[in-house]
This record gives sequence, C-alpha cells and structure tokens, in this order.
Amino acid sequence: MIRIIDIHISYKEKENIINALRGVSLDINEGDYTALIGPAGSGKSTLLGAIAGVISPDKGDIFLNKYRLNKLSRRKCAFVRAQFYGIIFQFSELINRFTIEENLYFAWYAAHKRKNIEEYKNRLTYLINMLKIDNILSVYPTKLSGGQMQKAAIARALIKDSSIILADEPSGDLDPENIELLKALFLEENSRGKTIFLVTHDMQLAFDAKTIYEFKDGKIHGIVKHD
Amino acid sequence: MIRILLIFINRTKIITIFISLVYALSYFQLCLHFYFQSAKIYNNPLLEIGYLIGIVGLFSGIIGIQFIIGKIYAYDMGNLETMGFTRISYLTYYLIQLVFSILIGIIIGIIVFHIFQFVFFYIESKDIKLYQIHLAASWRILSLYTLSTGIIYFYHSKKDPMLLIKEKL
Repeated sequence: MIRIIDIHISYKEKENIINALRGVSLDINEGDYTALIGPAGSGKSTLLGAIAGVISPDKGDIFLNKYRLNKLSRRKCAFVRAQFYGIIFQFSELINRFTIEENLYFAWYAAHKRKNIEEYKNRLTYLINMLKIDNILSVYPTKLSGGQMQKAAIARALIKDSSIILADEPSGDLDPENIELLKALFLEENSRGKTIFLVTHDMQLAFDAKTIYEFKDGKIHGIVKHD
Repeated sequence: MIRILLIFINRTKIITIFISLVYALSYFQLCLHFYFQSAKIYNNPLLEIGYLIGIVGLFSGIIGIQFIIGKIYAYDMGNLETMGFTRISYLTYYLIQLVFSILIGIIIGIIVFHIFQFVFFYIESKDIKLYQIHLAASWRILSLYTLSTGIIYFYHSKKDPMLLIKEKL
C-alpha cells in the first residue's frame, strides 16, 4: 500500500521558485487502479517521481508498505524500485546503447538477478504477444518510431512482474489501436492483482481506472470517478 | 552477471577499442621511461624531466577523455538506477569494463614495446629485467587509471537519477 501524506515539492528555476506539489495526500491500496488526470505542468509527473522515490519531497511523507521512501538512502530506494515498481516514463527512457531485449533483460535482472530465468522467458513471451513487439527485440531504440519506443518502455516496466505499475503518460506516442492494446494490458495486469497508478491527460486511457482524480496546480482538486 | 558484463562490453565496442589504444600508448610511454632509466640512456636530467612532463601530459589528456566518457555514461547510470540497480552495482559493471579495456591496452602496449625494443633500441641493462619493467608499468597504469576513472564515474553518478534523465532531455 502507498500512503502519501501532505507532500510539498518545489523547484528552483533561475530566480523563480516553482511549487510543483502543494500538499498532496493520497492512499493507494493494493490492487487499486488509480488515474490522475490534469493539464500539462500541473505536477502529475512530479508526484509520480516522488512515489517512485526518484524525487524527494521538501515536506511530508511517502510510505510504501513498511518503507518511508523519503527517509530511505539512495541504495535502499533503488532496492525498493527494483522489488516493487515497474515504471513507465513519459519519454520512454530506454538505454540507446542496448537493444530492446537487452533493455528488458536489465530491468528483469535489477529485480530478480539470475533467478527464475524461465519466468523471464515466459513473461517476455507474454509481453511480446500482448504488445506485438516481436519484430523490434533485436533493434536499438534509436532505430524505432516514437510509438514502438513507447511500447518497448511499457514492456520494460512490466517485464519484472512487479506488484506496482507507475505509468507517466504511457499513451503519449501511441496510436488508437495501440492505446487499446495498452488498456487491455493494464486491465489484465490489474485483474492479476497489480496496483496501477496512471498519470495522464488522456481521458480515454484513464477511463478504465477504478478511481480517477483531477489534478491541478500541484493539488488534487477532486474525484472524477470512484468505483 | 556474466551476461550483463558481456552486454556492457559488447555494446561499447568503439569506446573500448579507442580507450584501449590510448592506454596502450600510455603504457608504451611509461615502459620506455623505465627502460631508458634502467639502461641509463637519459644522459641529461633535462631530457628525463621533459619525458616525465610528457608522461604527465598524456595522463592528464587521458583523464580528460575519461571525464567525457563518464559524462556520456551518466544518463545510462541514472537510467539504471531508476530501474533499480544500486550505484555500487552499476559502478562495478563500469569498472570491470574499464579494467578489461586497460588490460587490452597493456597487452597491446607490451607487444608494441617489444617490437620497438628489438627493432630500434635494443640495449642490454644489467640493473633491471624486462619483466620488472612490465610489472612496474602495468601496476601503475592499472591502479592509476582504475582509481582516477572510478572517481570520475562516482562523480558523474552522484546526481539524482531523475536529474540525470532530465539533463538528457
């Protein structure tokens, strides 16, 4: 379970201080499918970064089960990310030096090391079929289109089979057909008990979420949908 | 871990080859210095000082190259950390890759030195054996470059992983 308690995050940009998050509190339970919708620049990605443990809040606390993320060391944070999170970043963030399959293997290795290599192969086959990425596995990210890169990034986040999926604008470069694939994949993962936290401005993608929050000016403004 | 290391080495071939050649040059220069010193070829202290300045100059140049390579790797380091690799683990992979390229450099350096030594400047030295020159040079090259590059990589990985990713954007 993720518990966010009154977190504030501000950035200094030249002379100005930008308050990206202004007191966000949120509970995400195991098996939840939560979406956060809001305009660009409202602080959604910052919140996702804070939950992932890559951005430290200035004030407030973030708990993931027994871990207080904002007080963990960098090493422990990396461990938590490896064990619990599959993260889809807004701009794919694949390592260009490695092929897609190698990118996926690195993500798997971070969480499982060399254990359960059969599970890796099964999971890879499952994702290849779901996302239709069999033709890009041996290709370098720089040779791919934006949509293919995004699908590879989604596969990289899901390959670990981790219990929490954090997705930041995962449909950004996808065409409608692939958005449908992604929606089906998220629903499938959620039905298997995975917690999904989705940040998007695409209402079509957010539609399947059990809970949808509206996010504006670094705050949660209201609940759009709650099942 | 072996597959991870092989991927690291295999996917950085050009950098590995380039940096290995630079290490080979550095190794050759250092061997030559020890050889000249042992065979008392330096007949003038100024010559020796000049040669030492050359060694230090090349070393500084290589550190500069390593700094740039470290900066190229910085994004990958941030990316690996967001995936869940700890700093110590990915720095270990990079350092093993580095030691591998230094060893290649030393092997090339030894071969080139021997060719030069037999063809151009064969002089008997009673004070020191050739293997002692190689031991002294390889030890210095390996420890100096591993340490300096380790510090450079550590410096580049120090930033927040998210900032490393944002910097690339």
